Amino acid sequence: MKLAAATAGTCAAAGVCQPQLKALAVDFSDKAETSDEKVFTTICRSNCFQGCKLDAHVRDGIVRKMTPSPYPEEDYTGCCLRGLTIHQRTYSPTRLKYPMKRVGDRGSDQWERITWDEALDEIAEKFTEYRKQYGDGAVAVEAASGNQGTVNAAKGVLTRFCNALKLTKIAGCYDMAYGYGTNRVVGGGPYGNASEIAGVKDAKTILIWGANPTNSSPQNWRFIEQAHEAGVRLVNIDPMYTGTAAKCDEWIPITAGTDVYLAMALVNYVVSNNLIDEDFARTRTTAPFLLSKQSGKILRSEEANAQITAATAKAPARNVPAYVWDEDAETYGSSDTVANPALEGTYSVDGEECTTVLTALKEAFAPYTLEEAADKTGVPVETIKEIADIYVNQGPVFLYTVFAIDHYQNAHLFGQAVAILHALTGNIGVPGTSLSGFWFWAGNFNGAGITTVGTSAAYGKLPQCALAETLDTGMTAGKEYPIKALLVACSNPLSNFAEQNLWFDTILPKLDYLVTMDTEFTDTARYSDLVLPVATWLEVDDVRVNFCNPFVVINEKAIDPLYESKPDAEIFALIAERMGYGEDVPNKDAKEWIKTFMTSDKLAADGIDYDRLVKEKAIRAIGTPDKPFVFSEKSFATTSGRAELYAESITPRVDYGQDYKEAAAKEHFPYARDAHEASAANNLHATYPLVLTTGHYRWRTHTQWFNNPTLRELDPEPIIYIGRDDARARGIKSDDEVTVFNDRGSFTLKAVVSDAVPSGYVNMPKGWQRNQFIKGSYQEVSSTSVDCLAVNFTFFDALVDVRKGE
Amino acid sequence: MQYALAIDTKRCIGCNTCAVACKIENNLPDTMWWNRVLTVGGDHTDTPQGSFPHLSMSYITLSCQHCKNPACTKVCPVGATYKDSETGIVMQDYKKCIGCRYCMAACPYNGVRNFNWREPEYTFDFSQGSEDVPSLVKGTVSKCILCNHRVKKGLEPACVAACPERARTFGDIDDPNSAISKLLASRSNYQLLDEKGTNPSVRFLS
Ligand code: SF4
Ligand code: SF4
Repeated sequence: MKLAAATAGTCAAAGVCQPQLKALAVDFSDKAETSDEKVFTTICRSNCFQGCKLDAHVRDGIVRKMTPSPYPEEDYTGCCLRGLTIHQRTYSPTRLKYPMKRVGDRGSDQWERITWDEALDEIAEKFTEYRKQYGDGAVAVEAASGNQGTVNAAKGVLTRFCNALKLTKIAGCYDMAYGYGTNRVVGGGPYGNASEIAGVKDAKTILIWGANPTNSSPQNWRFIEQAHEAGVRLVNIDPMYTGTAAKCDEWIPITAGTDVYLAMALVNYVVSNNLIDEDFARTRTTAPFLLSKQSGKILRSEEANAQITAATAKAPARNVPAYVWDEDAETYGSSDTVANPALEGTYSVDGEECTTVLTALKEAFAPYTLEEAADKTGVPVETIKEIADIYVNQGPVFLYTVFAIDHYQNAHLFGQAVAILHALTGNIGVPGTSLSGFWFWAGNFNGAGITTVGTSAAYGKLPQCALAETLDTGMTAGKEYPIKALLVACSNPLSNFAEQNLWFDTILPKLDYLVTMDTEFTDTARYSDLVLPVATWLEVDDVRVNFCNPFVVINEKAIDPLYESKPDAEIFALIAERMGYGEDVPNKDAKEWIKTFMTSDKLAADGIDYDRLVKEKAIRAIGTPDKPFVFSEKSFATTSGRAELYAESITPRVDYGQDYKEAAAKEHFPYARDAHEASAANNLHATYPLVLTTGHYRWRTHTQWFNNPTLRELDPEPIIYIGRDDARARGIKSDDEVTVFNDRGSFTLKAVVSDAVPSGYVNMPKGWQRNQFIKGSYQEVSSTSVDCLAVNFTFFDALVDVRKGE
Repeated sequence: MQYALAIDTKRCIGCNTCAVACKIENNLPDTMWWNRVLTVGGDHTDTPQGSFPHLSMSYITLSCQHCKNPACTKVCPVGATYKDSETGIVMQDYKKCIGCRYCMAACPYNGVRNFNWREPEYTFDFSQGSEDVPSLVKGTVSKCILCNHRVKKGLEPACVAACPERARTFGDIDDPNSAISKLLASRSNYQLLDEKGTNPSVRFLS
């Protein structure tokens, strides 16, 4: 829509005359309107990585509406259109109401209603038989982010069930490459690399690199815009023009999948021009550590080395000192005692030739020139220098990156390089900095109290990306690994795993038995042998430790489960009971599990417990309102306690027997390489010239809300955005039916010509089910090819072409 | 007194939360929306204007403008749509409405008035939202009345309370000391189609 005619005012410059958000405080109170109306506190558990507290308004036993429920800190209060329609998922006309058994062919959508007893008996009998004949691991459980509560979530009783019965719990391959890369430098695991979003106010620049929070994280955006109004600069790096780009002070288009070249060149530019934060590098990074030229190992005392050898996964080595060069004494000494360590130079320690890590780093990064980066990324040299200037002179830099770059096969190298960039410029571990827009914290909750059954543990290591191959060969890493049954809960793998046709060609034919627990007929449910109706969020008690938000929030059951639906936790207990594991997986009231979860010594020390949660409904359990949580402010969760510029030992994210040694040897320092498929250098480009990106839009969270009636009025059918030139070359106009295809599959949907999309790309809002397309599904064209170390789906690393019509 | 809305186009991200809040609070039937989000940019939702990479895009929301000088009330033969003298809200009385749709023809703002051609149809078999909203009637016109049922109780309209970006401010623009008046005084703002002379009470901060 063009609004020129009606636009009278002119734009004021950013930050001018902007009253603070607080001055415009909204009255959120939406109390019960009549004495018959009851209001229950609940929490959205979608995996959008926000955590919205909501009030469920109940009249005559029916939830009539959801409204944003105030947090103790107003800035955190809010929700989105999905939160407002949670009750519609409960009353959905297409809701799964009863246990349903397949009667036709798989996927033929012919079902017979059976009783719970029949369903549970069948599952128990089959699972018992498979375990007896093929081993415990022959029954696999796939669980993902369909419920971010606790008791009824993947990390709740489901995990206990897997541990007790020693079933295979399939390892996730979603969104973990970037964090696997940053983990090499700053520790924290695949998701532990971010600061609390409220900390953006302490930044000078918020660099939104490969993320579109106005569309996908509206609660985070509230904080970003608030900081913006207070004068913080917003810079956006993204191949496409987005709602976020439109709001930022600067938008820098980049060639998708080349971000690692930009990060490498920035590091080289900063170190070769002596622009690093030397104090920070000396005290908080391993820059001064001495690295043996011969062994490629950091030099340490015997005692320190022994500490590292003795470490276990449960008790990792932390804050272990290493040798540095003492500039005053002109000899080596321990990093915890030497006051003035050399940052650069070549030295000899007891005859062993070594350099500082920084000197080695300079050499490793030296080939990455601004010119090469400009050539690869399409970002001009001058602009790259401006980005370097942001890091050097306009910090603290809050890096708001999410999982777009993560979806290419070089993502972990980008993560490693960008973490080094932040460490060398002092943009980490201090207020106003972060390495991610998605903040994940675990707190001191007793999750183990729910999941642990003695020492019994789930079987094997089977990543999602290897499921088809393992089923096909019956082997993994040269060992037999028969999988006979798959139980799916909190997950829709047929829609969300890459390379969907593997399900039809391999997974389904090789799988004896597929059971899905859900609230709707998802793609996965539709192809299952048995489907169990699960209670929705409003029908259960639960608790959520939020993402991107410092609160733990109670979820009060607002109504009893409708129809014959049951809470996830109860279903697992009932199956376990029939299999003889009733004591290990008891059918407890959810409130008992919540009590267990809320009970730990550390929580008690902070004055946090179940009773207080019941009373207050939401408790800030990390950081304070005045001082939001800052990632790694005191030390890093690394062996040295410092940001590790040199990754001494490289192990894969999931070791399932793949060959990774050669790759690992190359990654002590990151290096830049092209994306796997979606790269200009790939010959496949001649056949399939377009990169397909599938974005998180406001209309769904992954595949959740896929058939919500209200949202489908606003966003009725799958569409794909195509740039003007690419559309013209193919004779495509908006609203034309088009088919997107490559060698792996195809799908047909409506096209929308958009100038936001540069040539060489197509972009579409994700989350649709197969029966919502004219034909096929977008997940047919993605690939299960993964990096052998990051072991992560690379959804955007896929080339396609588009033609008009079917 | 003139109740009004100020919508900050710098804060608005086009998320549609206000549109959904309105639809549910007022128990609107299938396909009816009293408040919609429009992309100011290209021809389709979420598309910009210009050519890559020289682009611009923003959002506005469109609902009844509660004009000081409404075109609709003048043409209504039965007084079914009228300006409430106390609040300045342009009201709609389903009992009086005869379905002539003159008001829809007179209103310069597309789609803010809706006609119930049939009995209202609902996906859900229970009423959603607030209990005190009047039921829609076949053969009559309906539209945003600024959640009059909430305003009467001292609450803000549902769209205002639900906006995650605090982009919507509600209040009395006749009172120079109200938050909305102060906000409008401090920021450049515009009305939609001001050349039509309707003097809308909904303002867009730019
Ligand atoms: S989907 Fe995300 S942003 Fe929306 S209400 Fe739920 S948690 Fe909040
Ligand atoms: S809820 Fe607020 S930000 Fe979202 S579309 Fe409405 S006015 Fe804009």
